[in-house]
Amino acid sequence: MSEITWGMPVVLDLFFAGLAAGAFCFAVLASRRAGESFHACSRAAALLAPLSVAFGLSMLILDLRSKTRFWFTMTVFNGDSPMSLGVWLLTLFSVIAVLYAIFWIPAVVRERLPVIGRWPLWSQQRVRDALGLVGSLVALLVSIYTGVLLSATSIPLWRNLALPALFCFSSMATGFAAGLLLALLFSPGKRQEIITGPFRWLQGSYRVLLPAYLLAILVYVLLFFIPGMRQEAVLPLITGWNGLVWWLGVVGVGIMLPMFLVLGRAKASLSRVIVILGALLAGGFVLRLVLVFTGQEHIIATAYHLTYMP
Amino acid sequence: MSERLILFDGKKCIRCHSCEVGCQLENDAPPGIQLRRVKSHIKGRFPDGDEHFISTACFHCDDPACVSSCPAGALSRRADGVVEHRRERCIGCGYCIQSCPFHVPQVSPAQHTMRKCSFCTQRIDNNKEPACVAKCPSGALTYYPDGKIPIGSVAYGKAERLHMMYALRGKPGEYQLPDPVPLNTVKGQQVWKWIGGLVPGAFVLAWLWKNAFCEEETHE
Repeated sequence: MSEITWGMPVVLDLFFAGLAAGAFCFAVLASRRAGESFHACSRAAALLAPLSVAFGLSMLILDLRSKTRFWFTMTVFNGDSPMSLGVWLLTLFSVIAVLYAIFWIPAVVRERLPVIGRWPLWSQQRVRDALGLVGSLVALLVSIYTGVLLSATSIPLWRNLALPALFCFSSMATGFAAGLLLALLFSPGKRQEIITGPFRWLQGSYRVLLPAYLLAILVYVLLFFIPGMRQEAVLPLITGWNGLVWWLGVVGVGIMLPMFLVLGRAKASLSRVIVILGALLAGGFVLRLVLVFTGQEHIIATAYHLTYMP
Repeated sequence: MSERLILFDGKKCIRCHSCEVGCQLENDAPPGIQLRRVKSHIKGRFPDGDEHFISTACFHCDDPACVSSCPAGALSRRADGVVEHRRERCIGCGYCIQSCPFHVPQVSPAQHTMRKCSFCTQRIDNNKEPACVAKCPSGALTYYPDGKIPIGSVAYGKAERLHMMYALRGKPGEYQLPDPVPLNTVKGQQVWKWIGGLVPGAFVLAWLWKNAFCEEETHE
């Protein structure tokens, strides 16, 4: 009998689907600014989004016990099921992300794409921006879906009203970070411009996003302590070894450290930027890891039917 | 169509495990998967202790969370209240396990799908009793094809119209049963979860959007 139903593939799916949504929003937001360095960020993030969502979806399929039947989900629409809604949202998002990425492929390379490569559509900036606007809204829904998927279940640790907002903010923070890191990686000549331009702007965004992220995580924990909620549900997460990972890893390194670094007035250097973005990415991953695994301990401990009582 | 019921009577169970065996043989359950399980719970201490038995399986909820959560259309609630699982449609995603308030479904690694009690639909549709009921020698499990349990009987899940009910010798908590009977959280609360994510998420994204605009205007 398998003890943990959802393992690492689900954690990776939640992380990379969220990261794709965040990266897409970052690409759209950065595309509203003029300048080569912003252009490089948009391009990197727009190309990252479809790859990241594709990786997330393949992890989702890998987690199925009957992998070849994954397409059954494409024959059903169950409006009550967050997973069914998620399948359709992710499908829609994947299509939009691929189309949006084609707009950002350098023209020299794009023209070599068979059939569609020479369409005049790809040079229409207004079409690209309209697609980006619609795509951002779908990306927002995708980032929320990863939280709703967990919080609509009957697992006490996940059944929390703040989880969708928490996952949404985390997705945005990690997606923005991944987009900028990729831009730094692929534009070695423009690193200084990226740090003084897009990173300064990103710092301004993080000054709002990271406090909201921290607030969501505190509201998530505090909601368990209001009357009517089961506070014993959250104790395995915030005490013991899990608690160490949660407070030190997710809250400390994943949110507080980058938050204080972006709020500080010190001049941004490459190493400082990498620390901020790396901490956000690692924190976002560990957040999902510890939530998914700790939540399912409840099934092993209390599943009425499974508990073996000789 | 009348709703089918199975009633378990805690006073009559002798813990012989016949229901488990009958279920296993009838329902193609591989080793490691038990669709019905008999458990004992000890109340008090020796020599005054008392042992309670319970035979459990899927509760066949009136508003089943597993049916709400299934993304592949493998689970459905029949008109007679039986929660049916079509294994040929099941993709084995495990979402029903997370959403079931009792966490009844189990993953069968050998069969690559989820497994749970089927209410022996292959038998009840041919006017036979479910296998667990047919094999019970003490009358602890009773099948009511018309859904009418004796008037006045008190049972766990009666008010919530579960289709597997329990007349217990003590409080539900003594049998580790959740009390009160938990409800479908997938359908009932999902809208609030979406709103709870959408309102703060949209607010922050709108701020970022405006922020991106504002700075552009000041630069130009």
